[in-house]
Amino acid sequence: MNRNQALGDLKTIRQIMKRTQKEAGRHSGWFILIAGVLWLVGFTANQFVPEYAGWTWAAVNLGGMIAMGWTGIRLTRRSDVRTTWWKPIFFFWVILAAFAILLGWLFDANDSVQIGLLAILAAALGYVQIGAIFQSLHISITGILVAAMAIGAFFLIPDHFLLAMALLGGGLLIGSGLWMIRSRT
Amino acid sequence: MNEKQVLNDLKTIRQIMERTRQSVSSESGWFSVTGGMMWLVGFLSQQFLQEQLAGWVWLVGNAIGILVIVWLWVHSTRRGHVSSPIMRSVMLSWLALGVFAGLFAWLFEVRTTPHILLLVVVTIALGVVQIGLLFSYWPFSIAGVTIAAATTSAFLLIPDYFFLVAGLLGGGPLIIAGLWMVRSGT
Repeated sequence: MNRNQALGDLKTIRQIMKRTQKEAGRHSGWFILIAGVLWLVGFTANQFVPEYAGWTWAAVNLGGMIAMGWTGIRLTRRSDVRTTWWKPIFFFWVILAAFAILLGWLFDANDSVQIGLLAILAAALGYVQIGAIFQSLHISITGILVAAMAIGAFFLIPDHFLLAMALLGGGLLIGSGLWMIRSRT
Repeated sequence: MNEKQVLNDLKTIRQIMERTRQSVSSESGWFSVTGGMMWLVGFLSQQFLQEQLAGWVWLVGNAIGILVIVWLWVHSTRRGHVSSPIMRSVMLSWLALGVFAGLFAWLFEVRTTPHILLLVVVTIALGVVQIGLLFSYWPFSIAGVTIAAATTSAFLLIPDYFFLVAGLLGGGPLIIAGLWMVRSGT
């Protein structure tokens, strides 16, 4: 193999890596967008119809899981990039959810504000870690902003914390998701 | 380029990937062994020594542990081991976990020593499980789940022996998983 061939091959490898990264970014954008819609609906229900909040969250989570599963399958079929990452990422989020539930139980997170704050911080942690591991600054910054907003709302407007999370947290996720989808196309 | 050349190139790439994986595995293994030792000594002192003395043991143990980890890092870099961007990502991920635990302790007013240590143990267990998941080091994931289950059970069922159980069943799996990684990396 001569020098030109080697350089050509390296260029091809770099192009493949770039294309994979672009695809992964666009895929993540869709999932973040769906998560934002879930937050918007769930936390709005928490604020205005707390008696139905549990059922709303159950329905919203079920709908979200179906939407994410459908989106994942559709994107994978359409894409020319095949990945085996979905399994560890799926279990990553399952373990993170189990961790948040364990903490809430061990440290007596009782009311909806505390439970909401814990869920938001755990989700933000997940975004920061996924962003760090996949070297996506956008995802990490989204996580940091969500955590900062949650803590700010918790202290500054505790009575409207859930509404703030619906509008600001959900809005931020929807905006970030849309931005990631558009900027990668 | 003919078929034989392509196959040879692919073989070379596979060898490089395997060498990188072995190198990262070996380094991470020694970090895990060091962390497990720190954990074992710290928690055992917490169980058997007076609180003030145990605090000093934690302090000295952590200082020595950090020095050992820095030495391992420098040593492996000097030996020309692969310093991968993956290690930086892993470090950032651990930093995020540390910040999360600090925020949680602050916001949920976690004050007593057993509660703080439980939070630290469960958070580290999460990190260990995540590393195992993302890098397919299954013994790591099993070690993380064992640590979380054992320490949480001890905290709830036998609170008087919480530190002892956390030391043995927390530090032990970290040491064993680390040694397994070192063996598989050499």
